[in-house]
Amino acid sequence: MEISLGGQGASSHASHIDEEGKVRVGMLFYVVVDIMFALFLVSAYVFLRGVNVNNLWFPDGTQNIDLTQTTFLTGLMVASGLCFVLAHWAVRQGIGGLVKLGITLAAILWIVTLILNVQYMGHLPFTQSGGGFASMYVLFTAYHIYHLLLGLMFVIGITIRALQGRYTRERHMGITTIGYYWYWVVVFGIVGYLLPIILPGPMH
Amino acid sequence: MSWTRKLVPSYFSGAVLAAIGFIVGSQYVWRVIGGANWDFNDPGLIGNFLEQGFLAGFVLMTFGWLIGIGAFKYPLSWMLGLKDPDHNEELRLAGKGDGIIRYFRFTTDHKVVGIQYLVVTMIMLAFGGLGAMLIRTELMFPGAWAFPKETYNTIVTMHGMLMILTVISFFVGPFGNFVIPIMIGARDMAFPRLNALSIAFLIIAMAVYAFIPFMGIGDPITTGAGVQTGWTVYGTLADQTGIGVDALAMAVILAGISSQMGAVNLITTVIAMRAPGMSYTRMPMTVWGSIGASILAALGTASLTVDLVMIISDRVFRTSFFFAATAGDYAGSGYVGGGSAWLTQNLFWFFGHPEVYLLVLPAFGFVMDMASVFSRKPLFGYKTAILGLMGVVVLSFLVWMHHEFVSGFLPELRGFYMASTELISVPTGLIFLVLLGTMWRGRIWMTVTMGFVFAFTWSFLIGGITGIYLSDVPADVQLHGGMFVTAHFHYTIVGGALMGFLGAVYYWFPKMTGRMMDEKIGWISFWGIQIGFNGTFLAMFYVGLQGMPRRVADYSPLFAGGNLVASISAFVLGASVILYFYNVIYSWKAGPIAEANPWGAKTLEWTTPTPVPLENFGEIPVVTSGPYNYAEPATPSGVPARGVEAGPAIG
Ligand code: HEM
Ligand SMILES: [Cu+2]
Repeated sequence: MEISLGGQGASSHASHIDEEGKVRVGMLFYVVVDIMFALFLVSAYVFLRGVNVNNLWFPDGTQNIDLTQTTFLTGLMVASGLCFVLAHWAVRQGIGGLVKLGITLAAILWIVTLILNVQYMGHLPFTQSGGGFASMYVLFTAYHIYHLLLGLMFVIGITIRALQGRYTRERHMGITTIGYYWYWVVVFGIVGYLLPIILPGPMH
Repeated sequence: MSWTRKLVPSYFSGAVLAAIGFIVGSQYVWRVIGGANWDFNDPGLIGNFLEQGFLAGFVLMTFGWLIGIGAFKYPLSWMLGLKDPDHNEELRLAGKGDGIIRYFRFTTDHKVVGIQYLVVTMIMLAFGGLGAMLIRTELMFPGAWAFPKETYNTIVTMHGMLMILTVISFFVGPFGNFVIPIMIGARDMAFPRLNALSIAFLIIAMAVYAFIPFMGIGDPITTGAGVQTGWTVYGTLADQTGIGVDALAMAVILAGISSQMGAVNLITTVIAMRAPGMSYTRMPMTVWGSIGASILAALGTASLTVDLVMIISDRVFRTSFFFAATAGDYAGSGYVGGGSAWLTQNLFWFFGHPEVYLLVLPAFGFVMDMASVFSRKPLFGYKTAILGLMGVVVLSFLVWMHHEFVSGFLPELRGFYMASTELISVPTGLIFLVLLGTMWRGRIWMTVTMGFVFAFTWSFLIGGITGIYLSDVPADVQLHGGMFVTAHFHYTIVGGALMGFLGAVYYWFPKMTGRMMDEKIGWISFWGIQIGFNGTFLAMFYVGLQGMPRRVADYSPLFAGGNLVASISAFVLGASVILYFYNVIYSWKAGPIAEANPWGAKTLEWTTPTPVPLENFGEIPVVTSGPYNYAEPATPSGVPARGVEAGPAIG
């Protein structure tokens, strides 16, 4: 391998990716790892429903989940994502006030969703031992709550920074990269909402 | 610096907080929550306060450790929007000005992390090897003469899983961290803190793993201490075995997190941190192999994590992912059922098969590099090699059901999985082609490293070809669950991955430690390892074809001859590995001082001085040609290239 020191353009990188790009690539890969996790959960759901061992996927007498509640919770999550989209748009336009508003609203909605989800999990019409569907559903909910809890760190950090006015039109990598995570959690919320509608617990 | 500042935070304070965390977590469940309800006569198969306490203990233990080593400092200060650390603070965190203590701390310098990984994986290898020796002791003669059968099963499980974790960490750990950033001309990994965190997770995972044999002693409900499932921890078995399986599942989840972090970090480093001129087609094969492995780790590990989470939750929270019974069967136990045994098999093997290639892909890369260096020839077919590596990456996600040929799951698909499995031998064949083409007519410099390259070629060939036997459904129906399978994967993992690793240690030792390894002890241990290894596993093929099942403490006298040979050879292998370890320790302390480029290699890491300074390069180099140009006159401080320009060499 031939090298030259101090030669042409020693300051430029072959990869042409700077400090910001590094964080972006890293966050993207993190989200990919998380997506794989979700993919296996969904596969397990479909699998257990498909084989329906001993007809115990959804044992007789099990009560189904309450769709109005899940619709409401998913709606909150989507609203949080939309506020974030707004803030992301505003920061690219350089509208400082809207960034603060958007991020703060998104963060509040996130935290409210977290609290309501914990409460929801405590009041499901079945327990985790109530057959295949019940086990899967509780695991989905727990995974969503884990997402929201882990994200709390990002949410608090980004809100403080936004309120300090540290995100500008030129420098807002934090919003972009945390956005990846934010949107993915919203998407997972929607997947977890739709799955029991498309492939419901009761099989008939 | 005062002593307290040196020791807090460090691994020592981490260990103290981890111990406190474990005690608080477990005692809270046992005494406070469980106190009144403690009931060993629980009618359920499993799932009592005992194991819930252990689990709470492990979780708090992990948090205590992370707090104790100071891993939360940066995330917290980021979260609160405090000032970002400046370059000086970063350098201090990287261990600037610290002596030996920086190896016992949350240190961000990738070279320190690399050495930490090297030591930790070597210790893991030693314990795994001890397990192997115990197994071979038991199997030396027919009859369960050395251990109770439950103990034997636990040893087999612990040996298997520990070795898998060891080999997963072998490459991306020590070399991926130490060598690869320098190889691509970077000052550090992309995320130095994540890097330090990944070794921290591996260490705490091993601490949890160490609990396995001690858990559940005296518990009348579970079947004694330890885990008797085999390394595959099928959920259906795990639901019924001793409570040690909780520790195993926790430890493997933590180690999985560690390897996922390492993988994300390595991929990002290679994408984003290459020096000017270091295009993708100028990266050494070591980098390509490690990238392939990282992709597999990033995409596959989650499947195992889901499996293990379900196992824990089946046991502790009485879910029924793998629990198929009808409601009446376990009335009163809290179980309903509705789970499937096939779910655990599919989740495990969807991770499991990519994982076996994750073990061997970096070895492919390393071996190709080392073959080129010691044949003094450019790599034969650089792009072919990349094609081979990436072909393996893609195909390895499409073959997992060859582990389930006899499980009764979708027998119609067996033809497809047979074909896709056999297809993998095509990209693998490309790698062999490149390897042989590189050595062909080279002027071979027979170092111990090169010895290991030859050993790799020989044993991986046998491993791969016996794999083709196993992918053949009619043959597998006979051989599944037997010693033939065990011999097959030891030929691929020990013969492939471990040989590559041992060669790589020998090769990069001068750069990592500043000293050369002893050539003479090296050769003695090399031949001992080869004789011992082949003796052990050829004999195991033989008893496997005779029909001996695996994972049994006792066997028919019919198999006595082969097993005796295997056991004696295994002890030769064990002794030789000990000699290798002795060589490492002895040479690290007293070996001859190494020059900067003792092998005259062309890759970037050999252009740096030894020991490699903090931040590696004074000035980032500009790369102007590929990694294998032995026709070029000389590398900085290297010996002149031999071979190619000397005309066709004979022999
Ligand atoms: C040409 C390549 C290969 C083929 C065709 C192949 C094929 C197979 C097949 C069909 C089995 C299932 C045997 C059974 O349980 O009945 C198997 C098992 C196994 N193979 Fe391979 N294999 C190949 C390469 C590898 C490599 C490279 C590794 C690791 C580095 C590996 C590690 C394993 C392991 C660990 C098992 C046994 C798992 C267990 O049951 O505990 N194989 N192989
Ligand atoms: Cu396989």
